[in-house]
Amino acid sequence: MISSQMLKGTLEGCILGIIDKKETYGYEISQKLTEYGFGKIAEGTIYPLLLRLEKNGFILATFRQSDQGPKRKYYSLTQDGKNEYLKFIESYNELTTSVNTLLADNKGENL
Amino acid sequence: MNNIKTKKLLKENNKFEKNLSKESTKVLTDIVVYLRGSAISEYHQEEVRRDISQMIFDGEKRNESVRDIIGEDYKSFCDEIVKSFPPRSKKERILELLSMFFQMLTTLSLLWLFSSLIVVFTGNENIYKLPLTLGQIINGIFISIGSIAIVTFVSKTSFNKPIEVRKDKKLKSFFIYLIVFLLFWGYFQLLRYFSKTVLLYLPLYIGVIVAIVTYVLAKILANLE
Repeated sequence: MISSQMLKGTLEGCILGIIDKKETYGYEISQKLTEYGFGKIAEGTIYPLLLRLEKNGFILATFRQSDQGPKRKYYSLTQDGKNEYLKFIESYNELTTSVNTLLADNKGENL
Repeated sequence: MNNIKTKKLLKENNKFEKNLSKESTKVLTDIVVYLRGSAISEYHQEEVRRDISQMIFDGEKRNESVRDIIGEDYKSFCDEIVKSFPPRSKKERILELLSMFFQMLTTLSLLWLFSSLIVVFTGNENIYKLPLTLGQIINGIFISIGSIAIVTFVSKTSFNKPIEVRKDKKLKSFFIYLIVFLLFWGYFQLLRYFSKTVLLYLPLYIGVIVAIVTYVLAKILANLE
């Protein structure tokens, strides 16, 4: 299980990536995250993040009629959102490269 | 709740909530009460309420409980939601406070009208010369502060478990009740004393005018965005 501290920094970016693929809603996003191996992420964990992304103008919410019951909120990426997602990818790649370098360097000393 | 948009959403939310299970409605109520004491506007509170109701409704169809959907910690869930909203602008805060202020003035002027009418009907005073006493002003301030304090307290403690009084604490709670009673008794004695000081004499219709004007102002301010 991935530590929540590590998840904290990356979850928003990952959500942007999921929304980038296609317009989607809260529960579907949490399902996709589980599929990708993030473990069980409750929709309630995602909701505040979606709110923040929406308030920052990165995603747009539209109400669509669902098969039964009331209208459901669907999210799509705005242009600012796309840019933010690209920034996230760049940051993340930088981070993983640095961490991998550090781990490789420590490999000999710790075993 | 003077804002028209908010009232409309509130009605829709009330209607939709009937679709949820009893247990979910209890949790949702705790959440809504907690949010009422938070820094986000009433309209945003209702928006959040709508979204959470929707989540719970869908979750129930999948046989999931509120805990599965929101997680264990309802309070942090709400705190995270509040944090994700941008802070309100100075203008918004001021408009909101002013609206609340005028709302309170409406209530207080109606209170004054009511007690003055009683005085009139007991045949004692001239309806053009009704007293506005220091005691009434003090009481008005006390009621206003007290009501805000109570609402804030209730919302902040929304997720607290109900307090159980253990047998050995019964003596302590008796003393607390006694002290509270004495404080209230002391307060009313104080009020009686200050009710002797008349600040102004006002005709009855001033009370009506103030009530109407403050009511309208509160409504206008609440609908300015």
